[in-house]
Amino acid sequence: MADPEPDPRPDGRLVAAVLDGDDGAFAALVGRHKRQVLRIAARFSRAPHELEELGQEIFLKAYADLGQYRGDAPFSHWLSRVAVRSCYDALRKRRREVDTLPLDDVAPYLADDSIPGKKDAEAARNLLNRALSRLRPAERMVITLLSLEERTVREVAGLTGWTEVNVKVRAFRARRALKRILEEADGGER
Amino acid sequence: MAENGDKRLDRLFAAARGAPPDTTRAEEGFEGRVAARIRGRRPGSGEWPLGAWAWRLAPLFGAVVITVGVWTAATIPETVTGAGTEIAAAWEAADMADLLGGGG
Repeated sequence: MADPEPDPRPDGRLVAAVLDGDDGAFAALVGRHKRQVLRIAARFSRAPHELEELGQEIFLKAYADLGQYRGDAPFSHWLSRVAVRSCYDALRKRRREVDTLPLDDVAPYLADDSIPGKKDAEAARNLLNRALSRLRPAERMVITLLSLEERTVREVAGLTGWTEVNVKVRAFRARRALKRILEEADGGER
Repeated sequence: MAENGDKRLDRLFAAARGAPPDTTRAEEGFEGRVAARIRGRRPGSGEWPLGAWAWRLAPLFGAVVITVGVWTAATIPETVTGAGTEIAAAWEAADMADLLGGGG
């Protein structure tokens, strides 16, 4: 089945239409921005069903808070902020449910000092996800946005609502904790 | 050692960036599923969660509890206590009569 013709209206017009009760306009916004949102959500999801759930929650929150969008910045920026904060809430909630994934089965990757090729990228991502799952939610959020999404400190501050100093401190702690986790896994492997 | 750890971490991040998460499967029909969730949350859709209704009815439940409490306090004053006191007094009188009368 062919995709429906994309709505040509700019984001601001679509937002106004949604606020006037046009749900079709919101579907157009979802279609336009779903990849950006799902990509952020995927950084913090452990399984496809979690990605689906988190992605939907982000758009439901955006729908509920749409009246707060002032239009003074691109809609995608505002939506990214909603996505990041929803992901942070999800991380904090998950933290209470206690989960840390074992590193044992991916630890051998650490012993290899060669520059990983493309086929190793997936393994690197898996290993990082497992190590990241052991960090505090705020540290994980900051290091993911800085080092995986390659955002600047200022952007991360804007997305999270934290000060730039706070972002830097959390990034430093996150890196220190990650190195320790990886060294422990490496040591356990030898 | 610390430098080695930093390099290793940077290398790991660089490799992970080479495999961005694939969201193509989640994107299929995503708009429709979000729209269904929005419709489901709307009042009158018949799909409002039970918890939401429980919260809406909470003031009513509270008022019922307070009313029953006040009514109970107002209508059951001394009946139980009074009966108990009367029985105790009757037993006491009977004991006294036995004692004075030399019975028992």
